[in-house]
Amino acid sequence: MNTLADSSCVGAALFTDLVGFTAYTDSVGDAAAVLVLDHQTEIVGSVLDGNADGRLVKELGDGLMIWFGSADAGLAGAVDLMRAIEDARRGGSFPLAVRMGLHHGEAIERGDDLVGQTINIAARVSALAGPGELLVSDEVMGACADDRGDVPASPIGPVSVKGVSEPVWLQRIDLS
Amino acid sequence: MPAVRISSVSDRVRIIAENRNDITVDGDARIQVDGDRTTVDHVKSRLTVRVPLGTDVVIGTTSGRVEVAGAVGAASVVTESGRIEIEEAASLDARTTSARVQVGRVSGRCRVRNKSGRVEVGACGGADVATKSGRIDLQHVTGPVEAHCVSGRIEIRLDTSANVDAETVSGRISVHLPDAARPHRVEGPMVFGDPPDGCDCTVRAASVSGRVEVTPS
Repeated sequence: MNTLADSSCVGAALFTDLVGFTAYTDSVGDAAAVLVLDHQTEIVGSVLDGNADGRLVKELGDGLMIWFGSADAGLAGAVDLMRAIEDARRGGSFPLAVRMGLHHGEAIERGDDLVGQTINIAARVSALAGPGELLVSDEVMGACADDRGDVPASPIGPVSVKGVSEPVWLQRIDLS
Repeated sequence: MPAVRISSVSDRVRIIAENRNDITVDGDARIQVDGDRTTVDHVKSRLTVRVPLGTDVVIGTTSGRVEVAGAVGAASVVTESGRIEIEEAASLDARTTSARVQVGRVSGRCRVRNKSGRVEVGACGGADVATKSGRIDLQHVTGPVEAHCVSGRIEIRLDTSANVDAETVSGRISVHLPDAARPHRVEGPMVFGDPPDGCDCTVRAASVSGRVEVTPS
């Protein structure tokens, strides 16, 4: 039997959400909406193919939960995914914007799933992002190597997360 | 330039930017100073923080109201339900779930994220505002605008020609350009870059079921 320590891992959890998907489905119908999800799956697959440290944990309706083995891999993967989706939007092949939130810490493996406060916080971070935005916690930036590249970020502020005593300070990644 | 970071839960935070050189905190809280950066947290009472003009401020509350009086530098405010009032800032990033956001003047870009609260901006050098059902009201805009909501009404009034990308699913959109504007209207995805010859801005105003009005057309 595995102990808790055996099944824990450290990495970065990324949550994504399609902005306005419910309203979009209402206006175009289920079949067209499913095509959007299929397209999203293709884009995510191509990004994760180039990021050996990332894996799609599960789909959550129109959202996704992706796990990366390190903060650097998470930040790089999230930036690549956002850029790929924004490129598709500008090209007219993807109709909706996506919001993303990334947090770094420890999680517990439960089958193919991951659970724990790191996961809860990442979901909360994602909920605060706007269309086309990637928000990350200070924990992500602090865990990245010093040469994390030329990704500029600006402070957002502290947010409270249920069950977490200290606020989580967030930054917005500038992708322009 | 100094920077102030404040984390409060339910207590009101009031920032007063004025002609002074130091930072004072009136209220029960922990204060940590690291070079030019002052962090105020573990707040147990209403706070009034006096800062030099142009100070960058980062503020977070859960339900506490946030008020910024005077001219600050870059302002970032995040709250779930506390009302946000900003008199003047060099740039702004404000995020809330349900609070009303009222902004006087932002010389640079004004970014606001809200779900159900109304967003009002008196003047700004550009805007990027997204709500779910909250109304968006942007006046005296002098730079590019992105405004997205699902069911709320969007009203944008520009003082100079600038690109506009306004999108709702069911809300009404009104875009008022300067009389001399020569807009290039697009229906599909927003076209970034310079507008075509003869036009001085690109305007996309799209609503699935709401009424769209762009003047001059």
